[in-house]
Amino acid sequence: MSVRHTVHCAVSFYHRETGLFNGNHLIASDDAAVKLNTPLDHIAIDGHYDHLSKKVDVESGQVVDYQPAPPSAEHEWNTSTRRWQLRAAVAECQQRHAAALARIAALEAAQHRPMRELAVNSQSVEARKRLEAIESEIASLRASAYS
Amino acid sequence: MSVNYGPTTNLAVQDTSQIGPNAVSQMISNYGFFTVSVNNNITQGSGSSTDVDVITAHITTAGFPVAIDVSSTVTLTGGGVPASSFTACTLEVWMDGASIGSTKWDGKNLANYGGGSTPPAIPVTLSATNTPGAGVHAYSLHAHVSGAGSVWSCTMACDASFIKVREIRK
Repeated sequence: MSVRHTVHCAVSFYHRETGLFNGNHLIASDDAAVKLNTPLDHIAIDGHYDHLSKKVDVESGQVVDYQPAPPSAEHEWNTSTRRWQLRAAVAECQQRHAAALARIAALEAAQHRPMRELAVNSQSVEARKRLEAIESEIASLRASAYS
Repeated sequence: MSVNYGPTTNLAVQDTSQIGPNAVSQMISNYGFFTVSVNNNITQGSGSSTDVDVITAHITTAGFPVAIDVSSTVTLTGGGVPASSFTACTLEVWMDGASIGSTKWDGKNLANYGGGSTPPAIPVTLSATNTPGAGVHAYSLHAHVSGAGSVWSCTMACDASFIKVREIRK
C-alpha cells in the first residue's frame, strides 16, 4: 500500500548576501512549489518571520534579531512592538498641529456670517467683534501650531 | 486492518492506492508584508499608464481547473482634488502576463473619496477560476493605473497583498 502525505510548507525568503527577509510568506502543499516561488538571489527558510525585526545571519544560518535603519531622527525603536515609532514629543507636536489646523478650518468656516453682516452694515459692532475674536484665536492657533 | 462501526460491526479499510498523485489537489499561497506603489505621472494633456504585478505565485499544474483568490488593501492618492485625473486604477488576476478576464476591480471613482487629507484604505478581494494547459504558470495580482487630462501624480498603493492558487483535482 503506497502512502502519500500532504505536506504543507510554510517558508520565508531571505537574501543570500544580506540575510534580509523580503517580506513574503509562502505556504505550499508541494515542496517543488517552494523552489518555483523562490525569488532570484533568495533562499527559502522554514517558518514565517517578521521581515521588519528579524534577519538571517548568513554565516550561521540562524535567524537573529534585526533593527532596520530608522526612518528619521524623530523615530525611536519600540522594544515591545519591535518597530520604529515617532518619539512621544514629536507625535504630540503633530497631533497639536493637526488639531490647530482643524480648529482654524472650523473658525474660517464660521467667519462668513460676520463678514456678510459687515458687508451689509459696516457699522455692525457685534459682527466686527466676532470677526476680531476669530482673527485673534486663529493667530493664537497659528503660533502654537508652528511652534 | 478494520474500523469499528457500531457495537458489533467492523468495516474493512480499503487500500487507497487508487487515490494516486493525480487525485491530490495542491495549493500555493503567497502573502506580502509590504506596500507596492503603482505611480503614474501624467503629462499635461496626454494619457499614460503603468502596470505592476503586485504579488505572484507560481504553480505547476497538470491541466486541471485552477481557483485563484487575491486580496489587497488599496490606497489611492493624487489625481487632483476634487476632480480625479484617474481614468483607471484596476486590480485583476493575470496568468503568464495576461489577464484571465472574468473579474476586475476599478477604483477610479473612489480616488479622493471622502475628501479628507488621509485617503481611505480600501479592502479588495477577487476570486476567479480558469483551466490552463499543463505546465508551470505564474498567477499574479496585477495593478494598472492610468490617467489623463492634467498634471498629476496618480498613485495606487497596494499593501498586505495576498494570493492563493489551488489546482482542484479530485
